[in-house]
Amino acid sequence: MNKNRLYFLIPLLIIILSGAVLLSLGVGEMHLSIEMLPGIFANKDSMEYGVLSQIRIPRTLLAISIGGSLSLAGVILQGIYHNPLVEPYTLGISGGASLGITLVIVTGINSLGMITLPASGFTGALVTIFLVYFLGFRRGSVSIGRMLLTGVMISFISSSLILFLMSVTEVENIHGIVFWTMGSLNESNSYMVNGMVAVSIISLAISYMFTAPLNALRLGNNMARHLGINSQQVITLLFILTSLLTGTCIAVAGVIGFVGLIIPHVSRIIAGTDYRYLLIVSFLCGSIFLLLCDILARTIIFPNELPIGVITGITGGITFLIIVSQPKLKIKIN
Amino acid sequence: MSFFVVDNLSCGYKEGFMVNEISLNLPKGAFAGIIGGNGSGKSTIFKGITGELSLLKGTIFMDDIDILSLSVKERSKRIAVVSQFIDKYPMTAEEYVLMGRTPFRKAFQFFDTPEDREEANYFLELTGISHLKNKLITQLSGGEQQMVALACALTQKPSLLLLDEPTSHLDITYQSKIMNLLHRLNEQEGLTVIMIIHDLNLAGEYCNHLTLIKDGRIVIQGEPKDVISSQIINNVYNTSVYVVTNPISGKPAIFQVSEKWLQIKN
Repeated sequence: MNKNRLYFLIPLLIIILSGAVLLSLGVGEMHLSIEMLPGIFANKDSMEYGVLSQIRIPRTLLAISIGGSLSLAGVILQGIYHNPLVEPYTLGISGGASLGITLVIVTGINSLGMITLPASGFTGALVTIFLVYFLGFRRGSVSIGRMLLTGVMISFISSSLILFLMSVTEVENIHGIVFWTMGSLNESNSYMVNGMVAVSIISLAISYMFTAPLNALRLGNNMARHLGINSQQVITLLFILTSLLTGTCIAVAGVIGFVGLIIPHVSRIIAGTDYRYLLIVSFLCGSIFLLLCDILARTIIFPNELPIGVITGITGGITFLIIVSQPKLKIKIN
Repeated sequence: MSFFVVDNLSCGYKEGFMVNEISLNLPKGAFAGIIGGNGSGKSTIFKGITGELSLLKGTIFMDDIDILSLSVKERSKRIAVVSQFIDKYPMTAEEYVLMGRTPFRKAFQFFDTPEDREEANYFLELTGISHLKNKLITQLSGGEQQMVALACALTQKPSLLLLDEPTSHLDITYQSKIMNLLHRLNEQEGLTVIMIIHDLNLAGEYCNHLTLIKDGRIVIQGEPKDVISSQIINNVYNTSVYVVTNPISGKPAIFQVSEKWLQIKN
């Protein structure tokens, strides 16, 4: 990949992201244009300022951090598993999280107040991570196939259990379950938003400690070993990092599919396979994608709102099909 | 003057194939070949040395250091491996060779240092592929890919180079190219080389130490003229061969004899 093109690409993505941020801040029931923004920020008592600070800014920050995080998790997982179909949710984490949330909604436990549901989602994700880890890393060796199968099976079992719970619970609970499993960036708790932003930035920084191992793993686990990389250790650490990251995303915003599958592929096509560039490009592309999807979700059936998972699934899936059908663009993965 | 010493090594697969009682004692600058039929255990020995398989028994010392006690990273600064095939991942030859600098990277080193590039370019030049450095390795021929893999391994600056059948799928131009290059590095830089090699003529011509393996055990080891004899090769490979002396180099060379001519002769 031409290095000059990459130096040009990252600033370009940041400009696109800034544009999307302005759009996201402006679009909605109350239209705000770019020229109005400085004035609004100067007058903190205005209603416009309230809309921005209470609703649109948190939502924009969430879209950026969750889109970036899911995409980052996806690009790392595809790299360590040498498998183009792996995404954060393939490992069963979304299934476990959804099951945790469903259980709490159905049983009506509400002991932790506002953070009951996020906490139960995160717990579900953690339980799944441990299951996949212990079943997949058994006897000290990573078996990629076993791990993927374990994850897929946990997903199936969870979704069956969720359907079971939905069929025995009251109708009013079903709406909450469905909404959660389709994802939403509508989070009013500022601690959750700030926490998510911090987690995504820290994860991106940590992932940059692994660029040399990730690059070496492109040549296969054995070759990476010959190059002095402890593949086993690196894969374990990255698995834990991406799992926790995914678990956090689900806890905050529910299940938002496709971002972690499609954006890494798109990023490979535009940025090549060198993880030193790929990680940041993937993060930025994920942010842009989810932010644009959220704008669509908010506006398409205005004044109602679509679950963001529906938008990411449809737009992402179609975009991906178009990309895959281009013979010139080879999907670059092992 | 022992440099690389394997003592009584046993390793293998659970409930499966094993190599046993493998001992090697090579001086610095050895050019050693491991020969033997398919499935005789050559690659298993390599996997034991590189740490891919854990040893059930035995020790491996290099320069009086127990290499099994070293971290993977420290080991990769001493031993480099060239596999038979390279993973076809779409990256340029230069990027691939630069991967050989991985053991020398600092924890937070993001960009390639000028030294990294210098080293990579030196070995691209040495292996005669610097004109291909911006090509994707997926677009290179088998011989060129082998050279890329070799350049990458040399960029690790190893004192021991392990090669798994470096010539097996190459034409004679590339066979000679790669063997002559290894010979030069061996003689001029003192690089110790151990290779698994199928071609007994190349093994006899280039190596100064041969180890013949059968059924996971060493049959005989020593100088090529002692290992490559009609009787030994006939027995171990269960094939009729006729050993002669290369008139130029004085090294042993073999002729395979077809069944038909064997009958006529007898």
